[in-house]
Amino acid sequence: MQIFISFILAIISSMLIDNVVLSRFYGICPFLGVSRKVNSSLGMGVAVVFVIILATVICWPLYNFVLVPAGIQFMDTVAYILVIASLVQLVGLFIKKYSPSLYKSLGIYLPLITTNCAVLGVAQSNTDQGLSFLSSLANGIGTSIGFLLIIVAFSCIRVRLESANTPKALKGLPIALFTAAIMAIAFMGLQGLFSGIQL
Amino acid sequence: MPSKKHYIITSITLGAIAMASAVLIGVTNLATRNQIKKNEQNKINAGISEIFGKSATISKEFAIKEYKYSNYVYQVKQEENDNNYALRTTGSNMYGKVSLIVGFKYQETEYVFSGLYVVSNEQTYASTLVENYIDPLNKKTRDLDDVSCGATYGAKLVRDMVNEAKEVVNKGFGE
Amino acid sequence: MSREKGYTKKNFLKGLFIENPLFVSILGTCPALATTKSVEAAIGMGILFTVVLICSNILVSLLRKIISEEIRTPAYIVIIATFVTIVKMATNAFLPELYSTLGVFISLIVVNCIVLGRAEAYASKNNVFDSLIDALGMGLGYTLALIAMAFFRELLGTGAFSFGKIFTFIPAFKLQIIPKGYEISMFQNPAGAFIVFAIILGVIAFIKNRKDELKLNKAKQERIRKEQEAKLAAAKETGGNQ
Repeated sequence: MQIFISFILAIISSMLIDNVVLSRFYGICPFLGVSRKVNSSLGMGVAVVFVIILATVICWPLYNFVLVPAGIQFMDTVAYILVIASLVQLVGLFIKKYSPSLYKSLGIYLPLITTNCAVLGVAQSNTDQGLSFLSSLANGIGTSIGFLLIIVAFSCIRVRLESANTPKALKGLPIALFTAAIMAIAFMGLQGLFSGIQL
Repeated sequence: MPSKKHYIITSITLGAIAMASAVLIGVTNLATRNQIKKNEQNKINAGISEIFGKSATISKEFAIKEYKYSNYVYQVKQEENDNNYALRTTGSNMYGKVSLIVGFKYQETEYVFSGLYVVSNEQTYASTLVENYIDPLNKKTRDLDDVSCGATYGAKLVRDMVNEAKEVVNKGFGE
Repeated sequence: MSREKGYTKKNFLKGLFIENPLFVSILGTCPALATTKSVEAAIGMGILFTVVLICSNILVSLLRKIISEEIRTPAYIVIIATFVTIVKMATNAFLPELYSTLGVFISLIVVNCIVLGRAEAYASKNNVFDSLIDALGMGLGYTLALIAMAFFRELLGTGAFSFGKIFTFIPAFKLQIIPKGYEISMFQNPAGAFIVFAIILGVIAFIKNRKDELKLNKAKQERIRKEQEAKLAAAKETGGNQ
């Protein structure tokens, strides 16, 4: 029971308190690049959730059961990026075969995920920090859902901003970044959310 | 339609690149390994001189295996008859890994906690933990059990590590 | 291959200003926000990034005839990851403080879009020397952009510039500029990073708009002047005829 509670707490904390985009700064590129429309940001977010969870499930055993026994821990970055790149390809092929309609909406975002730092960042920090498998999984789930949440919320705001009357120099990215700053301040307020819970 | 030969050449190129990269990384690893170890040793020496003062030297060191966090013991001497210990302890929780040196001084009947040094801290709220918990602990302005500091889980981990080390050092090492 | 004169200089300078990877192309934003808490960390990140970019550009350019079209991306990723790992180990050995400050962001140079982007867009099509110059320009441009971000964040966030913490071989010193108690610590937080980035982009957009406007105005004035001249000439002609 306690393991279950701490699992849930870890998911929530890496999703909200320690949000990928707003406090760890992973995946800013897609956050700014693919958030002009709600639909495309939703597609990107779902694809990222998919890939991050798969990558966590593969990279952790790869590190602990292959790289460490072989004594080549220093090859971790190369191994992870290869796993992620081939994973993205495989997921693309799989979706294309079994659900062409999903592929139509997700397909264009899949190549972009290889260069999304959130995926490599989660895999790398899981093993750098020496987390257990369960913690890694919680970190992966929480991080990816946090990314989905933030990118969708951000795109909803950006759609409104398009029609707002902003100064000419701030049109586009600058005003979006100001919005992100305000969101980051809001998320800072969530720190210490669990300090009352005894464990 | 690409021929069979084309495929073979492509895969050979990829394989060659992968091999070359593995060799390059291996060579760099050999070249830097000793330096990395030396850096770690320097860090431990720095920690011990911070806890026990500049004149402290390590007189004996050995690994211990049977405990959850504590894994290495340094016997520290400042003067001839000193018998102080520093323990290297490493632990991790949901927020990451912490590695500490915990110093103990022998006072009258038992070993008393005398200082903490952070060797590596990969907690998410690393700076909060250090500023609000570990630094005040070293200045004796905070109690070990007073863990709600903004990085409560990290502080709890540190508390458990210190308590275990205290138990270990007071039990003795079978000498 | 015919080369226009001064191409090398132009090639170098484009990375600094016209095609600055961070402020104009908006690439490589993750480390730009995460590692710019202090000027020193920004310099360190910039140097590591430039080293990786130079190495990968040279190697990709050397191998551009061997690597065929369909294995481009995986081959480039492996090359970049190799150099990143080497740089990471070297940093861990010789600059341990920099290694622990930047943490996972050294590994994340692998997925920095600039490195892969330059390999695909430039090094795979140009010779070694040009690729080297391109990498130097882009790396320097990125480093300067990081320093600009870190300058404001450290100045406003801590009120002082401190050196010697990360590059331990220089003597440690602290330059207090804003008196203690008047600093705005928010600029050290994520929110401050976003705000500084937004303001810099806004200023750049403002200058660009202003330049465009001036150009437009000049063109308009030119046109009006020409029209008037033509009218005058026409008037003269008709006047002469009368």
